[in-house]
Amino acid sequence: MTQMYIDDPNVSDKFNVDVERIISSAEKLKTLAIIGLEKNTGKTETLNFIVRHLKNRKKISITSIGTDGEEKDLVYGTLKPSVYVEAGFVYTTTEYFFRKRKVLSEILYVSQQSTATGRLVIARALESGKVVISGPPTVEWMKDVVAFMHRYSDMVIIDGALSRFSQATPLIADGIILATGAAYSLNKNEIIKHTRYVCTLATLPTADKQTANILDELNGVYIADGEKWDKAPIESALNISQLEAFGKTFKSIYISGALTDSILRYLHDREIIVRDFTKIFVTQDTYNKYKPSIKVLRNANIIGITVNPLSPNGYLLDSISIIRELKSYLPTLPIIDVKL
Amino acid sequence: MEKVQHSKLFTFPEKREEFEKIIGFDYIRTQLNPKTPFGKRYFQHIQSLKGEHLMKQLQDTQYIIQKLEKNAKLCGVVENTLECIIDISQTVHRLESSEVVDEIELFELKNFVLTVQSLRGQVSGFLDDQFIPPNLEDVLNLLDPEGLKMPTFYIYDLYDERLKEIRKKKRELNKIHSGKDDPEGSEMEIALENEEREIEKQVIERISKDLSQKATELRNAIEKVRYLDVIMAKAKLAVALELSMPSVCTQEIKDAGRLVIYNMFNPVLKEKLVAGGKRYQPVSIEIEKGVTLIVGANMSGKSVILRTVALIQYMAQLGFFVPACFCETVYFDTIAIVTEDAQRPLSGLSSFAAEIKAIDEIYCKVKENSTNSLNSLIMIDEPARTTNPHEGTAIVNAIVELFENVECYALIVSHFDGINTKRRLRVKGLRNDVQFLDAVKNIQDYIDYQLIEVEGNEVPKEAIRVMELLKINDEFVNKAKEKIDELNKK
Repeated sequence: MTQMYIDDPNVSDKFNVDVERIISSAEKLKTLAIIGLEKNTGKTETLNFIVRHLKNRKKISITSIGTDGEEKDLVYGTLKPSVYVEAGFVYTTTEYFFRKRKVLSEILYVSQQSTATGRLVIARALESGKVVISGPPTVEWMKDVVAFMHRYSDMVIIDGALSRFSQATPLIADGIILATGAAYSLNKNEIIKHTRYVCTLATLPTADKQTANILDELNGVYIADGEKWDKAPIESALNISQLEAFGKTFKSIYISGALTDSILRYLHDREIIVRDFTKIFVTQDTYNKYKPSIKVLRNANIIGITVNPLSPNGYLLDSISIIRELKSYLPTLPIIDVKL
Repeated sequence: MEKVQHSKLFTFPEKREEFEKIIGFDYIRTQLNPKTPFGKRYFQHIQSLKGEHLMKQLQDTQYIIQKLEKNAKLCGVVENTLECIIDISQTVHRLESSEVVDEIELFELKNFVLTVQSLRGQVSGFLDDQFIPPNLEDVLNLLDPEGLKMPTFYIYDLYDERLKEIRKKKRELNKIHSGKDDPEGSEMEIALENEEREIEKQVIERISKDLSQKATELRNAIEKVRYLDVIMAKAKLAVALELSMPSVCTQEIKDAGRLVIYNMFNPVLKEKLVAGGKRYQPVSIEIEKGVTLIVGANMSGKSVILRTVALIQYMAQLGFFVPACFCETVYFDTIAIVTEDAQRPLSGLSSFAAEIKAIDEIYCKVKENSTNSLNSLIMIDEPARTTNPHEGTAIVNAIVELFENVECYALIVSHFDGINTKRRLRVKGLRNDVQFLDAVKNIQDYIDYQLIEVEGNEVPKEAIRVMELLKINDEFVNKAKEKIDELNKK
């Protein structure tokens, strides 16, 4: 396919196979979230890559959590349209960017609520070109927007912003692509370590169906010593240290909110259940130290990993060796370099 | 449509939010469910109505209630349509002052017009003409040149022949470029783009100008939609809370007669009682000009009576149906209520000081109203309750005399003996057939909340009877009785 792979037919074949696998998995999804582990890890390339492969087969909608650009870009007005849309694609943006757009677009919806750059506009591109994607800043709002876009398209792609996983919640997205690369770290081992960790979280086991059904309805902290779940006598998981004072014994604990390092420290020897991996804010070091037993109500479906070997300051990493090493840990996942 | 004249209502506490909380109107607000942004805004800043405007709103509410009963399904459809109404008042305002609006505003306008048109279809032949919004077909034609009636918008090719040509050329160039990553585009493309922008700008200016001619119609449509939304919300509230239509005369106070309220109830309390499987006993009251003193044992619902009267009066003046079977009242320019919970403990004043200052302020207002022939309704819950009975009695008597000498309707609740008023109402209180009380919390089951007119200047003495019914130790009860006898001998 490219010069770099000619020396290594083995990788080249695998690479082509992996591209096929990611595309065919993506094609089956209703809502795909692309999560960048850091800014400039090639999310947009990944998005454009998926769009390129599916545009003839699917009516696609594109949205994102917040704006895919730093505050600075907004303030100085240097944010360039970066996502390529075909005629017929539906996309979200905000008033500010809609007024500056170049692509002829039909307005389908304007929100009453406002974001930092004005109200949300959902539009259909009537010609192809590049647009600025900007979307709802909260998960709740995102849910509504995704539902709206499904009325106009076969598939919604959420362009995740800046290592925020919230929009990848399985409640919204039925598939995820992780975008990683040199922007996360110039140290190959760091990239691999972190990517593996995110994969670990995204593939945590699910609680049994009966338990999941019970807990899905609950908000707050609940504990169980057997079958029965009781509300914990604390206001939120932040007061977890008070739990001992109540002398409650429990084997399992359910936390509907965020699971953080400080909470984990108190609970590492119990079974912890959270809604999904986007609720876990535990650092890798803490996780490795305690090796906790965490279950989720809904598991995430990672359909592949993309690697961007180019760092923002121009440094180029050897993507082949990164992919190779990642594959040795994650043998079942398709992993590709979107730049190739 | 003519602008409704609002009449300035003065409340005490002056802060409307505080006043509404005391009388329980905050609960009424939670039960109100307007569908449009216009209706929501109307209720947020709701004003009192007077005379024929008030009359009209009440009659229209009655009319819509009948429609709700007759055809609930169609009313539901109308409500769903109202829910789709978006707020375009800013845009209409800009059109009125001949400004150029933008694409997003045109999109919203088109949405609004489409919704109004379907609302018009739904209510034509179902509701009176006054509820039917104007036909906005001309406006729709401006915003929907393709005639597809889709709730979407862009600067359509049909607006200007040149647009079609330019866009076609752009698409062709785009095809050639597709696949290539050429973010800047060719010079040709840029020129086309600029030309397109320029024509689009001209189109928008033209549409804005045409729409400016239609601003009055749009404004009219907003008014109609808002009125329908407001009346529907009031009608639904009346049905849900079982309210009835009040009669509010606009009379000068010197000619005004009795205020009559039959079987009034407090909606929050009723809801709580009914939820607990209990029955709410409605109470009737007639209020004459001058001071009416209300007496009754603890827990006999005197405070609730004051608040409910205030609530009914306030709701009536805002054009709502009221929580009573029958209500005949007059329009008041001032409605004042002084209760324990209005005195803010952090204000730095003792509760006595805060209360007495409030009464003083209200008295000045009433005096001023009296000379200007404005009507005042005053309700004071247990004035001077926190001070000693000796001075307290004197103070309350002073309040009674002061308010008797100015033109107003005043309801005063007191526990003190020796208050002299022309008129005195007593809560009937503990029923005579009660043998014992099983628990304090059930005491309300044994109280008859009716008000009866009584003579004299004594308050009912039921505390010791309650002690007996509660089977308090004989020794304790007898001691208390002894003490009473000693006091009476004095």
